[in-house]
Amino acid sequence: MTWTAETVLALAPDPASAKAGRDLAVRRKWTTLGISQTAEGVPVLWGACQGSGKDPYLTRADTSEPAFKCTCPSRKFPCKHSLGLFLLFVQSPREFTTGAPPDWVAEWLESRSARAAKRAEREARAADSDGEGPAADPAQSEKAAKQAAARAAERERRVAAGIAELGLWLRDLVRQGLSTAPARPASSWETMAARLVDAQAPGAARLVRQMATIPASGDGWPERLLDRMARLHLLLEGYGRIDSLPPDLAADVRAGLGWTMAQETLLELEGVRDHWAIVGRRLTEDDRLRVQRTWLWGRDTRRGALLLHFAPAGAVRSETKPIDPTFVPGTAFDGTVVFFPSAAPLRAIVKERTTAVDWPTGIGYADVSEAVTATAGADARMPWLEGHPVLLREATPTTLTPAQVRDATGRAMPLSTRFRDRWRLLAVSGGAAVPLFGEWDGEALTPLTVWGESGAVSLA
Amino acid sequence: MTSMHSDLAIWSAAVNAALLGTDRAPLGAPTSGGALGAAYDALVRPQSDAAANLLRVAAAASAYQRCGRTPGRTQEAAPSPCPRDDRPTCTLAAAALLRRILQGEHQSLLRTWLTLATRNDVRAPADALPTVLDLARQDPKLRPLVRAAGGTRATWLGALNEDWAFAVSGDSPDALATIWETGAGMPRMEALQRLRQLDPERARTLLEASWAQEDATNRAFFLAMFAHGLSPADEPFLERALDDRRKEVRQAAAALLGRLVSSALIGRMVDRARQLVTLGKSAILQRPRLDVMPPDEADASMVRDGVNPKPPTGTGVGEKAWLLAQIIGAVPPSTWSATWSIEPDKLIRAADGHEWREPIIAGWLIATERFHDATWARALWDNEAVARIEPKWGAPPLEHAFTRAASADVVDAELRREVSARHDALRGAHRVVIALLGWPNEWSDALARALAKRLKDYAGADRVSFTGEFGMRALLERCAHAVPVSAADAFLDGWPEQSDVWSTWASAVDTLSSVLRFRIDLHLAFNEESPA
Repeated sequence: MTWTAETVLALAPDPASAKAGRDLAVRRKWTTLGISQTAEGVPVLWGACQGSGKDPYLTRADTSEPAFKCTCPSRKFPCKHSLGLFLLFVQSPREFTTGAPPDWVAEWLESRSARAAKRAEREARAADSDGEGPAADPAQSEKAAKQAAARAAERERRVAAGIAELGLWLRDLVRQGLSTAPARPASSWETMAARLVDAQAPGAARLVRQMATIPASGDGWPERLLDRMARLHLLLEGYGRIDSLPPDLAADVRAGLGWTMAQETLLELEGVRDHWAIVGRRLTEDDRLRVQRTWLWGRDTRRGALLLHFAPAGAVRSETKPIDPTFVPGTAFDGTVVFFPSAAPLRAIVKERTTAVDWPTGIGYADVSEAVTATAGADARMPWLEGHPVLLREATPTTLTPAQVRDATGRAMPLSTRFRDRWRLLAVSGGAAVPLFGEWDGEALTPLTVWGESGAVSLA
Repeated sequence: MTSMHSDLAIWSAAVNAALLGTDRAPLGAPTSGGALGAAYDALVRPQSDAAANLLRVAAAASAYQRCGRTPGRTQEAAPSPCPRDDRPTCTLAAAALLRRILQGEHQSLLRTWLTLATRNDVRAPADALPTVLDLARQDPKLRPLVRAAGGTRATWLGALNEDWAFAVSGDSPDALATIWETGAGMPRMEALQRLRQLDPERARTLLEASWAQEDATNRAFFLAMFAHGLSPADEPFLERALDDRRKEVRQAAAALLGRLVSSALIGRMVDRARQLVTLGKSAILQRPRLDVMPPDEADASMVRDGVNPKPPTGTGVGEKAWLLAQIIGAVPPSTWSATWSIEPDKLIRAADGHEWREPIIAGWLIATERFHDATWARALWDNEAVARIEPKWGAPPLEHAFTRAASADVVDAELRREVSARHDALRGAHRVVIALLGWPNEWSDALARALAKRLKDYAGADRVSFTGEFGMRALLERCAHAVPVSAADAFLDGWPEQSDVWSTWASAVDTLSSVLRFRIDLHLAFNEESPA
């Protein structure tokens, strides 16, 4: 991709780092600035930056991924020196002297390519064991396949045991009465969730953890809790007779319990080529994981697609790739995405981004009725959906409380009580009908993007 | 009961049973069936326990509801749309910089951003307005700029959110008068203040009409707003306020009349002063001589005119000297030079070594600042040895009297000359430093460049103090905002980074560069002339 000051700064772990990086993107901060190219023609940068210490910090950047390494003690990644170096390159590439990388850069590049080679080898071996590559030794690959099958069977056994216990636990709750739920210690939910993690059913564990917060969530909690428990129970029963389910629904059950699909397997599935508009992005973080939810909308397929990117929470590990900053709401690309198999496909990965294209006009639902008809249809096919993409071509935010958006016919969607950016939404709309994208949970809409006269505005 | 109702009843029955627990309250069969009721038998299986059956029924009922829900029509009318604003929105680059400011980067430059937008007749981006309005709510000084740069959208938002009502009351004197007449509390005070700026006469007429009913404590606050737009038309009202029951009101009125050059109050003070100070000639040297007869005590009429009868305790200032300083301070300094046909310079030198030097100089400093007398400001500045007195006299420091009363060109040229000529000009509490820190104007290109040169000299060799009121850090912070963009380059490069003392400078210079580069970006984003 072509890097700009904005996309570089989007790599910053926080605003303070962005500012510090900007301040370091100045020629006089650097005693050395060098550039060379990898075999693939990717620019590699390095520089020495005089900090407060005696020795300058040595900073290097590989602009392909991008990847960074710096000798400074900062726990942030990328550090301000890495950002400053990259930013300076984007703004004034001529300040960099072309030449052979010094040892401290060459060593880093070597260790990176060695690691990449190892990874490629591992992947090749994995492919071989699936019987897809040229097998060097048929006996060995047969052995590997057997081992993999044994591992898979072992997991099935553990999941089955784990969810049997979960089923018992759910039914016990119902037997004793949910009125006892608010008094239950938080640890009782967490214990169950931890057992499910041990049983290799992380999806079920996540649902149990979400349930833990419901009894303290105010009015209507019994309805919400029962709804969650019933859906989770439905998932368990679905697993119990998974062989009799249609393949797509069976895939939903397995995904719900926590089986993941290998990227390579997905990429072999048929993709959907379209002009994909990036209509919204939301970042969430819990104590374990940062999740980037990116919503796409197909111009011709007229459907939403959800990309998930994960990063460890508070990532400080050197060379951890930041969550993908290249999907910018308000831009569009011609490309192919592959949907995860599902009775109501939504989650997807991008197989190929061919080119950037102009924003497709006139996409989205004409009114609230059309949106609700579509989302209810998806709910009917797939009972564990938690949110739907809703792109309204013309939504008018209302001014009284409770907050809603209405269409030209007067049908309205209430906005989520968690939505904090109502005034920005109103400011952008100016009381007029504007394109609006949000996540619809069946009861309330959480707006993520609104389009005003200057283009897309992300909301929180 | 319609079949749909009975289907909804299945869900509420399931919730109730789940709350109590199926051990106590098993889920009963539905009384009559809609579509969900019809599926009931398939969901409840004899071989399952009651809890499993309940969960299965609940899952179906919840899905059934989720899929069947249709959003209703809202009773709320569509909002009235915001009127068009024909000015263009600012450039994307300018909008991006505004967002950075609002995220806390160089927040002090918000004023600059709004000023540039107003000057170029462009609008702030709509999505930034809520944050900008919140900031203007806390800082009333930003409000006129926010109204200008926010345009009709800011006004439209102000009508919806009472926290931002100041964006509406905007520029209509009629609307402000209505708030004054019908409102209460802070909005009412702000309405008067704004009206005073737009139409001083009308603000005074309104205040006079309700004066008798106003709360005594508020009167002084109201009067304080009248410094803006002060004119002879205010005099009769203010003269009456000199007899108010409350001391704060009397003092506020006297302070205002004391600034109104044509006022009777100043005439009375001139009469008093002329009886106290006369001009003679020294017998031997034929030089002008000040003959001073200080007053014994403040009489009632002096106190009515705002004279503070007692010196602050513990300062050692005598009562006579204190009164003398105040009376001279209340008289336009040009009175002296005009009456006696003599240059201020000679009069100031006549105070040198005078028995009453300090009160006389204190009075002249007070009067020079109060009446913005540029000639006297220059003369005092040029006679620092005579014109420097201790703070206990209650007069402004020489530097403040100079920068506030002399013309900007003169201040700028004088400071530049001293910075260039004197190596110690930027050291500690030198008068140049005090003047630079207290002068709110933007500096000329030449002054800024002279400063950059001198600062780099220091950074190359000198140990200077960075902390304290007049420390180098304070001066560099002032540079960040007072250096014109055209001279920013002089502060961005060429620092002696190899010097022994550079480590003490590095962080303060970095901060300065960061602000300056941001200001350059701002000017470029508004297509203002680019820096050299």
